[in-house]
Parts: sequence; C-alpha cells; structure tokens
Amino acid sequence: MAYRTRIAGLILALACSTSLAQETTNAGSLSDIKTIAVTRGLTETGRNCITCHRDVNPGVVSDWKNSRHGHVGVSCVDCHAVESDSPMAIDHEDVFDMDDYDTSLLDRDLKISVLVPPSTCARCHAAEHEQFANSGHYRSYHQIIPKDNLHALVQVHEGRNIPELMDAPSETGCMQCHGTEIELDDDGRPTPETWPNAGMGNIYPNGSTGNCSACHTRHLFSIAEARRPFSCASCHLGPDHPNIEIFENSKHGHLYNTQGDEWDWDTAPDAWEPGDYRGPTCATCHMSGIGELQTTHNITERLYWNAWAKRSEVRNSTDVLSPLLGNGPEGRKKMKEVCSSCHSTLHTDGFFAQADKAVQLYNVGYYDPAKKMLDELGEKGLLKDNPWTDEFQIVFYHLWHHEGRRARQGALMGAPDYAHWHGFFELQQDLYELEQIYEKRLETGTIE
Amino acid sequence: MTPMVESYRRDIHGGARDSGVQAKCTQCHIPHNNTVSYMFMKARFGMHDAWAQATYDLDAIDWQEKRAHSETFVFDSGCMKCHANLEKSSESSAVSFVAHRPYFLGTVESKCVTCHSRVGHKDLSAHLANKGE
Repeated sequence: MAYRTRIAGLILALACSTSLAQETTNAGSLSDIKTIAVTRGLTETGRNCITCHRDVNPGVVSDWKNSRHGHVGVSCVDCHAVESDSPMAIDHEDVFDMDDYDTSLLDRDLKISVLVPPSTCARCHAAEHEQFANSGHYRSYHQIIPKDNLHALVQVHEGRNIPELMDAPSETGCMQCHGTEIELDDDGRPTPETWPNAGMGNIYPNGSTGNCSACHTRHLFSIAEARRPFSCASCHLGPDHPNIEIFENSKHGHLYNTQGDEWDWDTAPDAWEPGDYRGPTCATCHMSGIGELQTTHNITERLYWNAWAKRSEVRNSTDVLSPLLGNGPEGRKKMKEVCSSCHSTLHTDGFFAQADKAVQLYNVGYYDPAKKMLDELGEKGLLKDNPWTDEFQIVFYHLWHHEGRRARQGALMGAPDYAHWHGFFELQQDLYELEQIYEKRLETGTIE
Repeated sequence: MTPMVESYRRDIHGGARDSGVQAKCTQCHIPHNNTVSYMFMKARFGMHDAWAQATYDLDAIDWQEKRAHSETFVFDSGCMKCHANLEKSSESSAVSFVAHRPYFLGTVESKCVTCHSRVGHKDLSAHLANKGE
C-alpha cells in the first residue's frame, strides 16, 4: 500500500513538474495557439521583425495586430526605422543580445530606435501633428524649463537636495505627465533618468516635441481609447486639476457612467456625433468634429479663459509658449457650436453666463485681494525665503493652484461639488486665513 | 560644399543606384514652378553664393542648424518635376496613400522635406562632422 502511494505520489509530482515546465516555457507568449504569419502589405523587413518579436514581446505584437496600423500594413520598421545619421539610431545587433535568435533576419543596413517622436507619426498624420504643435499640450514640458521655483520645490524640498536621489519626485511625478528632454547614453539608448515616460511634451533627441502615445497608448493607438475620458484622466486628476472628477460630477459624466458601455466609440473621425453617444466625453467637446466643426488635435482651440493660471484671463495669443495661447471669443463660439448639437441657445448662453460669473468672482473676489496682501508682505520683508514653511505662502498657493482651479474648472465644466464645496467654500476659508496672517504680521512686524 | 557633394554622390538622388540617374543640385534647390521664378531664384542664389564665398567666414557656418529650415531651400516644385505621378501612384499602397493624402488635399503646411528630411544626401551629418579631415 505504502509502495503504491509512493508511486502515485511520484507520478503526480512528475505531472506537476511537467505542466510547470510547460507554463514556464510559454509564459507571456500570446501566439501559441495561432501562428501569426502576416504577409499582406508588409515589407520583408517588416515581416522579419514580427517573426521574432511575436515571441519576445507578444503583448506588443498582439496590440499591433489589432490596430489600424496592422490593418493597413504599417509595421514595426515604418515607425522604428531611422536614418543612419539620426541621433537616436542604433544597430539592432550591437545593442541587443541576439544569441538565441536568427540574425539572418536582420537587415544590416537598417538603423532603428525604440523612441518614436511625433515627427515620425507626422509623416502620415501631418494635420494632427500640426494641430498638436499649435496647442497648449505642446507646452507641457517647455513651460516647466524656466520655472526655477518649481525646480526648487521638486528637487530641494521634495527631493531633500540629496544629489543622487533628488530627481526621484520629478522622474516618477512631473515627467510622467509633462514629459522631459529625453537623453541618450553612449549606446544611443534613452537613459533611466529620462525614460520610460508617457509625458505629453517630450523633447526627443531629434528636436521633435510631443508624444502621441500619451493618449493613444502604444501599440494599439486606438481612437476609441482616446475618446474615453480615462485617457485624459491619467494626467487630468487630483487636487490641482480634478478634471476627471469634475467630469464624473457633471451631467455629462452621469450619462457616460451609466450608459457609456452601450455607445459607439470607433466611428470615423469627424463623423462621431450625438446618436453614437448620448453625452460627450472630454474628446467630444475639446477635439471632435461635431456639427460644422472640424476634428482638431489643438485642445486649446475651443477655450475662452485660461482656467489654470493664477488669475484667469481671456485667451488672446498666437505664441504657442504663452499661457494665453488661443483666441478666447473665437474659442467660445466654437465651444457653443459643440453645445448646440444637443442644447438650445438659451441653455448654452445661460450655462456660460453662470460659469463666467464664477471665474470673475474668483479673479476679483479671491485672487486680486490675496495677491495684494502677498505683494505688500513681500515689500515689507514679511515673507519667509522658504515658501514651503511660510503659512501665508502655502495657503496662497493652495488658493490659486488647488481651490481656485477647482472652483473655476468645476464651474466651466458643470461640476457643482467642485465649484462649491471643493472650490468656493474652501476659497473663503483660505482668504480669511490669509487675512488673519496678514493682519498679524503687519501688527507685529514679524513672521509668526 | 565637400560634405554636401560627397553625401549627395552616395545617395539615390546622386546616382547611387543601378540606373545611375541623378537629380542635379538645381533640380531640388531651385523652384521649378515657372521659368521666371526659376531664373530669378537661380540668379539670386548665384549672387548670394559669390558674395558668401568672398565675405563670409565659411568655417563658422552651422550647416546642421540650417538643415532645420530645409523647407526654405528644397522646393516641392522641384520634387514634383520628377515625382509627377506621386498623387496617383500613392493610391497603390495604403501606407503611402494615407501619408500623402493631406498633402495633396492641401490641408497641411508640410513640404516634401518636412517628412523626407534626409532626402538627397546620405549620412550628411557624418560628412559634415568629418569635413576637412
């Protein structure tokens, strides 16, 4: 009996170890069941990439084969091949260990790069790229470069000024949404200090600015994905610009959250109209070709105010690096055109009258008096050098950067809880606190 | 001009292919939209060349920087003189059709060299870096 048990145990153990070994061999491969033999419309080099990479990076190839690029025969090399004198150019066999692979598949004259700058996407999507390059998104990283007080916050205060660790907050935070200037090591590969990142405003080694995959994640590059509010939400969230929370708080979000799964998400560009959906997402209002409007990748085009600056002004600049980029009155006209697909003029005009009043109240009732106190304390030497230990400067920062944006953006996008409880309610608390600190400092002539 | 000429000779447009057919300098670098404009620009560029040769510090010229503005000295009308059937021929490939459609529809400001930024001179960066050696 004992002997039989031992035999049975041995068989069971063998069976387990065999199945484990199989799982290990096949781990991660999505191409076991079906061999992907793609020949239609691909160059030989393009096919050769897929031959190995379907095993090496099955997720990447799986994305690609389901993408529109896969449908029209745009393959790996169409985007990843670079000119031999490109600063990003690498030799595949020099950089990657090819011991386990068939090197005869490699095109020896071909230089590649893992980095695909927007200038590459622009070779086919030229209009989208031009629109992006004229939008506020273009500024995502460029605008950070000259801001010394921001670098001080992130490196000195958050990074504790520890030379080898001080960039951690920027690398794991700022850079992942805003992007950075991507640097290359001696092998021509992007450095861990600058890559990977999904930032909108990357400056690539060839000088091209932007990052299409910030919204259309690689390697599916899906229009349906970019139309969902979560694409925007991976950056537009949190206490300083809770745009996804604002959307969910709005009636538009109410419709999306309750019925969005039944809507059509992959209608052709410019043809995606009410009927495909019952309510808009971020993309519908800010980008989509709705009614008479053309599709645009310039997300600034339909805006009236700058609703994130310390004080909101009407947009009136053609300089892509200006926070006031855009034409406010024209932008408002376009946004009203968006609204008119579902709403009457009475509804739309009334909505913007309410929202504009809130923005003006923030400017005149909160920012202006707070700024006046800040300037006066500054002139009298009653502000600390380190703003992050100075109660007045901390509250002032929250007033415009957190609460003030929530009130303004909540009002402009129809989110009552953000306009009020997270916005104006907190703003009046901030202002009273600032007034108390201000009066105390003037009275005593010292910083508490 | 040595780096430009050497890189040109190694490029398809410089004859580095089986047929040996070349596009000459002027076919790309002078507009071909009409005879008057062609003659005027040829004279203008020619005089500027003579003036530059006589008065400029030629070693101080940053040629790499100039390549960023190649739209101002490589003319689409020159490209289209040879690639006359591009609009029709693009239709034979989904990739090239999608890529060239906005250009022929006139919905973008891109010029030929905006996308084909290295056309005409193979490895020009390397040749510029090695100049004089």
